[in-house]
Amino acid sequence: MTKNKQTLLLVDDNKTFLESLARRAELKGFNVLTAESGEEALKLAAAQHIDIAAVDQQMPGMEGLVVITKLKGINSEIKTLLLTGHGDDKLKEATRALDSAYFDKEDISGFWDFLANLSLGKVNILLVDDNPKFLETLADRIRLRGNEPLTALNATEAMAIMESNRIQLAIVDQRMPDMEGLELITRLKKIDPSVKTMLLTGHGDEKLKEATQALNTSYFEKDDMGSFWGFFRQILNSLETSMAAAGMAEGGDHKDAIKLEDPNKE
Amino acid sequence: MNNISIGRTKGFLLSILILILTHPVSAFAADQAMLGGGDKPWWFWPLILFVFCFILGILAVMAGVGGGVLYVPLVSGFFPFHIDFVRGVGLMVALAGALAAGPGLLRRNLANLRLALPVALIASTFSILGAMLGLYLSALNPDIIQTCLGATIIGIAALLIFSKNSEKPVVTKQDAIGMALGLGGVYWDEGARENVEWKTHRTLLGLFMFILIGLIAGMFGLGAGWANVPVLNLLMGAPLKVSVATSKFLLSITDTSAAWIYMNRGCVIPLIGVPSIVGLMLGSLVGVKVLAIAKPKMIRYFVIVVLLFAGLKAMDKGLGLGLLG
Repeated sequence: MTKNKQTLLLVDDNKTFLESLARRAELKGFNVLTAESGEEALKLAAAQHIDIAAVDQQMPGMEGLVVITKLKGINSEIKTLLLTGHGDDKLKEATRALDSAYFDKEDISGFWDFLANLSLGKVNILLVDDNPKFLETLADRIRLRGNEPLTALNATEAMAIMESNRIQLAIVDQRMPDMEGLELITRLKKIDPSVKTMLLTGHGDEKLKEATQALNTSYFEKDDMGSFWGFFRQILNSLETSMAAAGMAEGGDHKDAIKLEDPNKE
Repeated sequence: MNNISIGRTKGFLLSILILILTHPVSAFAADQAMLGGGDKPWWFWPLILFVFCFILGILAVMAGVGGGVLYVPLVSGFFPFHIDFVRGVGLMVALAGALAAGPGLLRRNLANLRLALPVALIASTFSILGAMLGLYLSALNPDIIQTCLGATIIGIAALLIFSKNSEKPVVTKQDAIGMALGLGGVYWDEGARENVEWKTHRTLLGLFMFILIGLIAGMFGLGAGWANVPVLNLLMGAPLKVSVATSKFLLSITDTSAAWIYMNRGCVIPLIGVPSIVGLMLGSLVGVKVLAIAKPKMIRYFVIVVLLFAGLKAMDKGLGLGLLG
């Protein structure tokens, strides 16, 4: 595979965003082309071979979905990614319909909600991202919730981990040097069909970052370590757990009592 | 190995502590009047009771024996309180533990409502009758209750020694009543990584047993976990996890009914109740933390021996033999 010289076409009417995304993509070793409108993008696509196109949905003139449909008309092999500012369900569905391979993508807000509501204590999580910094940040957050995630910097490593561990949830970056996230997800599912997967799209996508930051705040509000009420709520929760554990222990079920009190202890 | 020896040392220290604590108390108990403690200041007995109950809470959790069942025989045996007050507070102690554990057990889907409700209906009805019967008998002569309590406690100690709970009892065929009441369910076993389906059998016999359990719980103010769990687990065939959690939840219904009778008759004295409940709750919180570090088996046997001794003492006291001082 000529993975390092894939041609990436970025389409966005916001010039600053386009440039910053392009810089990051170039650092990743892509051959980057940029277009500020759908028409410009189609012209570029007609002139040369494009492997991947990342298209903004909201543009004056031509909508992102229309651009994607037309790009696929020019080259049916093209991989496309639609950048949407804020989660519009209809849009997401339309995107899925356009490209069945996109089916596995979970909305990023859904992802954080899922993470926030998950009782992480008992779940083995695998994080795959080629960016060590992002990987570490994500791992740190999950550690805060009392879970020790497994991490992999590339797809090969991820598959090796998958084969030797029982993983319940895999969070995979879409763009990695050795394999695309979607392909990795397909392979992980072949190893264990029951694994839940999440695809993270967009390298340094500012919109994504904004969305994540917005969600981070609400995420921290939920646990709110700093504020008194958060602290108070935590004490109450841990009291409730301990009393339930004491109840189980007094009834003679020490095994489940210990599991309640300390889910990480075997 | 290391854990066990730590546990042994802890168990040994605790047993010494309990002996030191109970010894002077029992001496006072023999000498002094029913209530008051003579020349002692008013806070003396509540303080002793608090410390005693704190240790009792730790031991109850580590031994896997309910706090309520330990409380009544030990406090009635070693403290100078009238048996009615001890029974009344005993119910409140068991009730407090059950109410504190209930929300967590329900939220985690450990306690089964379908199983708890029909059983609770029977047990709480008869615990009211038991409480009334107990107070009637005690009005006739407190020694009757003391003797019956002693016999019951010895029975409980024997039950704790001989009954071996089964984690996943095998139920081949559910009976008609169990099916009609929908007594069954599924839970996820993390260790075995499988869904465990369970159902009950011998349901009618089990429900009848709860008549007896309700009566005893009400009459003596004992929590009824020691009886609930074997009946739900060994007789009716519910998994241990479900039995224990449901039993604990059940207590919060059963004991409420009986506690009302005792409260109504003025048998719940805050000066006894508050240090007992706070002590036991704090003790069980500490007990759970200790349990996560070490779980020495010998504590269970130690507690059963203490219970047996308390039962014998209660019988001795009730029959007026004076063999145990």
